[in-house]
Amino acid sequence: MGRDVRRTLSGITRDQRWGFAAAVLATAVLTGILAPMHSRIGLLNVGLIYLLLTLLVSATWGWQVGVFAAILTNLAFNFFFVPPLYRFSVYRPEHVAALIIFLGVSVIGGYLLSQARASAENAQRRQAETEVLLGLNRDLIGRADPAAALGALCDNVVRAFEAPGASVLSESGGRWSVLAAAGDSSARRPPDRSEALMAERAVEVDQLTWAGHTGLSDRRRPRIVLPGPQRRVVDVARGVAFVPLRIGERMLGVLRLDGPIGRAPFRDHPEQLLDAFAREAALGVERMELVRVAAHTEALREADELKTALLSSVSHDLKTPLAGIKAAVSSLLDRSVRWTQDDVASFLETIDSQADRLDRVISDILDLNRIESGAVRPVRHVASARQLLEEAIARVRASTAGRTVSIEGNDELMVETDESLVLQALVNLIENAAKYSTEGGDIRLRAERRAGRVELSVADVGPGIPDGDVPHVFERFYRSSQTRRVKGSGLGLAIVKGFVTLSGGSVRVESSPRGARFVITLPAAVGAEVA
Amino acid sequence: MTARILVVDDEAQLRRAVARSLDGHGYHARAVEDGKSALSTFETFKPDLVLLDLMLPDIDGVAVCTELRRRHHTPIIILSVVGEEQMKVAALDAGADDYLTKPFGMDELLARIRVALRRGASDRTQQPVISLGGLQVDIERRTVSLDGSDLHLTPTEYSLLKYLATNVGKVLTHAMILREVWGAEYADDTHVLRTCVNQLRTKLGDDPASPRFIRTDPGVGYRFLDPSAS
Repeated sequence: MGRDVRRTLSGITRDQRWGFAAAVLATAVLTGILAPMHSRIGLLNVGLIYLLLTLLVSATWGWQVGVFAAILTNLAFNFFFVPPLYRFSVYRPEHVAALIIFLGVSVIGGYLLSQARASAENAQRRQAETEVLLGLNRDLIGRADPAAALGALCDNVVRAFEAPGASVLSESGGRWSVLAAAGDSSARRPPDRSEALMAERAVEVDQLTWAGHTGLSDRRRPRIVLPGPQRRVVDVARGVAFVPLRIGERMLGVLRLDGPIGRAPFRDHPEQLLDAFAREAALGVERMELVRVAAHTEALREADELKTALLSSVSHDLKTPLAGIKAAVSSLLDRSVRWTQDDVASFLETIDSQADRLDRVISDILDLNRIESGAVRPVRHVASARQLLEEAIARVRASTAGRTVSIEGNDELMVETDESLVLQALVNLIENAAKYSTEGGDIRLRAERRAGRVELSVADVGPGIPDGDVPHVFERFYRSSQTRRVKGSGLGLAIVKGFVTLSGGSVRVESSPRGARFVITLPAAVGAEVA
Repeated sequence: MTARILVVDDEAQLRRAVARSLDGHGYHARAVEDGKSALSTFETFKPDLVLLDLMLPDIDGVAVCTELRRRHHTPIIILSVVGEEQMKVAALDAGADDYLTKPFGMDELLARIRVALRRGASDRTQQPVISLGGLQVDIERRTVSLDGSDLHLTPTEYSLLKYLATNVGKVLTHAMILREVWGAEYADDTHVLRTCVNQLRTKLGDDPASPRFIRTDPGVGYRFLDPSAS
């Protein structure tokens, strides 16, 4: 029985209950004023005044209260003003007609007025909804990851409803946790047992679930009817609503909105906007996930392309030294020929030099792979620029045989960098200079201070680099058309750039028809310079 | 007479090792590093065979091959690396006789050199009867016999066999065979060629896995094996 009453009343808001009381009161007051002077104002005027009251009530509280007021005023009109007075009976037929017309006009007029008001409110609410949804949409587009998107959803919900807090809950293994929240600190609270049950219910029925009949008003202490055989009724501290967030078949979580909500357009019917919010947020998250999957796929594709390019580039560099080794070894193994000492020495020299070359190619590939995969962890220390250059020269003695390699510039400069990486970069640059410059030409190394940084340069004497190639020399696999005569993988300078960047510096090239100059710029060690 | 071999490769170490090894095996080798020197040395050195690397610093190896073939029918063996398949086929189309993929053993290179030199020495196109390890192709009478018994070939099969047999030891690309036997408009119809080769093999009793006569060079073409080569 109690539940039936609640269901009957469920279409009537708390405001309307005030309307019924107000209608009774207004009718009583009006009747109290008009009744003593009924002989002076005339029946028609009294009827019009009652009609006005009915229309006002309809416009304010809706047609249900309006009909109630129409009946009430009609009864009052009949009882106090239509002869015979103080009785509900009517003598004259025209009075009967007048009462019926009065009732009809009151009801129809009141209904139309309340409808007009309702549609105006509806339009206003729609407009407000559209605005807040647009706001959410704008916010979601700006977010990069799903967690930020859920945070944006909570922010927007709190703002739209002027609510104390909103959060997104997620369940895993029977435990609910808070993924994102906005509003006051209590919005971060983990859901208690009753809230968890409501959230589960929202997921189960896939629609909004709330405490109380709107759940979000503080005018009466909200109560939760827990699902299950006991249907336990639990009082909660304040109103709360749960909206499932779903992408297709996948449950993303549950949006929890804490009451009381403040903003008028959504106060009585928050469900539409909440549903729209949930849909919009789920779409936003889905879009983000797709973007992330696409980015991941793109990264995989690029890595795959790199590997393919690397393989095709190095297969020649790996096979060529092997060809020399194989030719020399198979000759030595051939017992049908009596090789001279000179022959044997020459074959062994080929094997030795080609094995070194193979080793360099493999080191290049491994270095590039270490750079690309992020496996290099630079450790920066204060180091002497001069010592770096000297150490580099010591390492390339074999490949610069027959050339003069000199060091110029400031002896006292200190840099802050990863020594081993910069050293490797310098070695590559010097070997590069030895490979591509005029045979026997000098190689000049220099350390100097410029604009608060330290520059280490490697300059050679030679044809330089063609203008068209200069912007590309640090690209992987890039081989200048002029350097075809020198075999290489096109990896050396890419590795230089990778190592220097990791060391906290930068590298550039200057080229003229007299030679090329590669410059590594590194941060100067603070306070360590004695200029 | 000592055969002269011109080695053209831009890799100094490989060039040196191969030339030294060839000298040791009784050939007279001369090594050069680029296309221009190859063409000029060809005139003065007058080699009996050219070993040609395709990746040369100055002129495209295929262009060198074309130019050498224009001047003389000296056998050319291409030295190529994996990844240069298209260039390799282009060089064979341009008239190269054979190819070897780096890295290679000297014994393999020496065997190929022997086959190519023998081919260069005997021009079979002028012979009235080609005799190859039990197979006899009578060019004038257009008959073929295998181990003494006559074979009945279709006109296309006969043309194919004749073309392969007159170029014994030489790699013939798909395009070359198709152009020669079927005509220029068939140059891309490799499946026609494959079908005909299969029929010919059946009639010759040849096993593609261990061939006696026709060897497949995957992706390149076919060659008729020289029965006198080791």
